Amino acid sequence: MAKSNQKNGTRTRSRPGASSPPNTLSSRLRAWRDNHSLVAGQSIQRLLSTPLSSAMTILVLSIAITLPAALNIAITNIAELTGQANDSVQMSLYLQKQVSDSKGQALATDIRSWEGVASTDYISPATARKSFETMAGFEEIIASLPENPLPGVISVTLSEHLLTTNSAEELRERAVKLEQVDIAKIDLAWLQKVRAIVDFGEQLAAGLTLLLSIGVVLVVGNTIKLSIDNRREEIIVTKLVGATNAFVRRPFLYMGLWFGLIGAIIALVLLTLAKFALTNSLDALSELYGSAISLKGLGLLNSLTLVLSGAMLGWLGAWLASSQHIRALEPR
Amino acid sequence: MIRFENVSKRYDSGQDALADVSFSLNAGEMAFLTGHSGAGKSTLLRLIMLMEHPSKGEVWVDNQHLAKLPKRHIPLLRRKMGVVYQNHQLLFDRSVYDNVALPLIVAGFHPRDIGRRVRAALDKVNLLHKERQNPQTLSGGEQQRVGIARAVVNKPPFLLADEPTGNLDPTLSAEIMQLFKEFNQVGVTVLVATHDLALIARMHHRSLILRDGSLVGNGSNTSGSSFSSGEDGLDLSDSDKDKVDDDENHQSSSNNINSEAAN
Repeated sequence: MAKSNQKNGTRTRSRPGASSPPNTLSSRLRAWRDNHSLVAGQSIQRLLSTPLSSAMTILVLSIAITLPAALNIAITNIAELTGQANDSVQMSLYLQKQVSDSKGQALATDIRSWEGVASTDYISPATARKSFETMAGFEEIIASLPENPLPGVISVTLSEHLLTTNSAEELRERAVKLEQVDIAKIDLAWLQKVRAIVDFGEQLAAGLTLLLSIGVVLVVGNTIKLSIDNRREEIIVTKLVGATNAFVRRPFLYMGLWFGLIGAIIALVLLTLAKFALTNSLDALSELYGSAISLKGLGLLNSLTLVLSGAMLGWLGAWLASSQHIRALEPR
Repeated sequence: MIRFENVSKRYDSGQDALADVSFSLNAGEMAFLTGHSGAGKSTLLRLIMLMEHPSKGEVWVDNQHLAKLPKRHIPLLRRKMGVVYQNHQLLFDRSVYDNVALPLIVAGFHPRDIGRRVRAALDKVNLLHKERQNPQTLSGGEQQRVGIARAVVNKPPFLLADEPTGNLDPTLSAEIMQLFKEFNQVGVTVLVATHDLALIARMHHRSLILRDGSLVGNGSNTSGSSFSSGEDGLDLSDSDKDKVDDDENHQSSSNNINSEAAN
């Protein structure tokens, strides 16, 4: 009896020590990790427990993510198309009527050695006429003409580094000075216009991306703020029993993360559906034009970036809202 | 240990809640904090819990000067204090079990330990059979006991109670006071704010008496009427003696629960 009294006496004295939670680094890390996975799961359940309002929020988020993403994809596709045109910027030299085929050939060979010229191709009046004849609608017009009205043409492909206005213009002026050359035409102006439009579109897309990203942050932030207001009492009690701000904030951060992640995934689904819908009509269009225009989607890497960005923005919105509102919720 | 040095508290409204209060409560001591309503009992407790800050003077808890405690350490200090509130502060969106488990989850205990400790604490307040219920379905006395279980579940060295018997009948009040006494007997420093003078008179513990924010009594209370200062901790040796016996009962009962939970 005396022995057991003694034993209990020591236990009594060591009590405060026994009251401390596990404090080795590994057990604390494990507790932290356990809490994260627990909270991550609980916050998903909480989202599902209010399906209608969660769905509304997620829908708003997915639209806000879809819009800039779609614009970015559109711009990328246009840039891609004009990029193909870049490879083949051409100058057309319309020769004087009296220049013979052999002289035209020789001139083409001569021009090929000029600086800034990638290649040249001499198209004789006869060849030009033939190619016109194969074109739909031109057949009869060509046949009705008494003689071939077409001049010989040297098609000059410019090398790519020459694509600034000045250098291309210099080349055109040099060509037009040749006595055999009647008219020198260069199709640079339309390309520059398209480029300006692409530049504008890219800026617009960047601006819209920024604005709607802020929108995502604000929408998530507001949703989280409402959630914090609803759980006010719980937060205060949790703080009273010794919860850190980080502990209290955690479920809200996960909630924001899920909102952003799910919103981005739905945006990705919407974009994929839109791509399929457009591909069908675009196929018909490219068949009409006889050229292969293919729509580029987001690709794996960009899809991943989109989803991660959505999650990050959601987290950021939740962080802004919770760090502000949870700090203010002190036990009173 | 809890120590107040010339502590005054004036609220922003200009109301003086405490004026120049000094006392010290040793580790392992049990004391009552009493006085009419509005005398400053709650303010005093709130200063200890860091829910308020003193306008003047120093509050020391567990050798920490609270005013100098970095903000991020406040949660750690709160984990050392079990607090029983008059209005329970229970959460009605979860079970009794989950309410009691909260301090352990917050402190990062292993799930296995959580189950064992929660059941031991609920057994101590005789509510083990109601662990799955929502606290809303319990009576006032039962809710108060859930609050007590939550306050002691992580075995804090300090136990504070603000009018824990406020809405309870005398029998229940006596039971709850008995519980506090048992915790004190296993080494917990206990401070109970109450205006139930009859109860205090029966308990043979030190009383801190507040009147209009000033400490007018600070000493051992045996007759319920006379107070003398300067007797801090005088009857500690007596309570230490029966501590061991009661402790044995307590320990063995909670040990049983521990082994049951483990099985």
